[in-house]
Amino acid sequence: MIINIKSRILLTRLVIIYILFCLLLRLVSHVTATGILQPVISYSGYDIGLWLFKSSGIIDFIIQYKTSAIAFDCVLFFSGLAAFCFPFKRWLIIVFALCLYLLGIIYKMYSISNHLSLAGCMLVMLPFTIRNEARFILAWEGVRYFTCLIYFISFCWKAFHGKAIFYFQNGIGAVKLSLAEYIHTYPGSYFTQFIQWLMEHSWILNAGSLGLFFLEGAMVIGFITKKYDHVLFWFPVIIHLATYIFIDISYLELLVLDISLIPISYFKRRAAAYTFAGPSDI
Amino acid sequence: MIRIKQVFAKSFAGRLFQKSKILFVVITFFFAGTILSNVLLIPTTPFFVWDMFSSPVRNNDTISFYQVQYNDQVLPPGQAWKSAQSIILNNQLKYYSEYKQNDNQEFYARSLDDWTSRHFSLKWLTHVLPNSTQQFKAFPGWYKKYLSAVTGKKIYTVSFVKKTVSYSPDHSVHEISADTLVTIQ
Repeated sequence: MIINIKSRILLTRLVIIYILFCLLLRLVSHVTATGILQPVISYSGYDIGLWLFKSSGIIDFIIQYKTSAIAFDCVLFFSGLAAFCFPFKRWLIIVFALCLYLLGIIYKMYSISNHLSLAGCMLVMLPFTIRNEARFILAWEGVRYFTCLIYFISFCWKAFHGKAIFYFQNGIGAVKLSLAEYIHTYPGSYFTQFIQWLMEHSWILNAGSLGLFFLEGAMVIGFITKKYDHVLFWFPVIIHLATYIFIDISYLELLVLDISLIPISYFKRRAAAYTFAGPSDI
Repeated sequence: MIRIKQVFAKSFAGRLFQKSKILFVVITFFFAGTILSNVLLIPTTPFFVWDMFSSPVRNNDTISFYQVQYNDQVLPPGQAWKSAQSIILNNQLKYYSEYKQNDNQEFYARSLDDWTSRHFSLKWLTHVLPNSTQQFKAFPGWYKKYLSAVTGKKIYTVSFVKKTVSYSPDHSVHEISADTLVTIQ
């Protein structure tokens, strides 16, 4: 598979705009370096990757000083915007990728959680740092395989380790647990009534939960063939939308990886319909 | 043997090996790291453990959840697009309340000490990880400042409340108990 310049520009811009949208949500909800600013309690668990960053002092340097936190956020957003405008300036993409990685580390350390929503943004920009088109395509294909791999691993966790897949009341159990606070706070809302109707027909929630597990498992098809990528693309979308609505937690940032399941041929067709500034102009 | 070679040459790994040895090594290492982290259950950033929602969630009628209350108001739930923020607000306060309930001792510091005694060669890496007493003393100030930025209001008091509720047969929720775990003045 060969990618032409126009389709690479389109792909790069799509990925960057999605990340920028996610970053904007983080900015307004005070979850960037400036938003968290000078936090005092950190937790690195038993993650040697986090330990190295904590010991290096880089994270503290960014987040413990107002000037450096503001500078970090400015570099993060402006490098993203600039990389969107000039998708072939590799140094801009490298700076953006580095900032995203550091933001992921900061969030992981200070959120004291294993929330992996930013994991996709931390890694997805790396192929765009490659100049050579053939190597870029292979690295992007690597992202595609990685996307299939993480969902399949998640399925394996549910099937072989946590064994949630063998508990048929998982759907209603998860919804009851996650939305108890919401139902308690807003007893008469339309959403509460909708959830209570679903609880009355709990088989829908349980079948839905099981269905989501199997959608994760079905991502293994991506390792065998690319023929069904247009179908596989929707599986993470369905999984994360369902999690968003029924578990009240957002993993939408992770969906950036899902872009790798859109065939390159699609970008070629779309790119042909638009006029871009050529590489000499950018 | 020739057949295996042909299959490998056509595969993603084979094409990668032919085009760029460096990329082959990097991607193989990354995939192997991710798989190994998940098999050994050891998260080592950037090799993440993708275990979310893997354990069964029992269909219980009695549920406990944590609530952040400030100036006698409740931080509203049901804003999933802000879940990154809710996680920080809840988890930071939960960590602090555990510290206070444990006689001002950080559980992580103790378990890290145990771990380091068995892996002494990594002590140089772990000594900066636990939070100091000064950090815990500074926590209420930071938390009120952060919550003030989030809510746009001046914060006087913050409470971390563990609520236990019960589902009735019509799926409405009734409060059974509310225990204040920690209060920040």
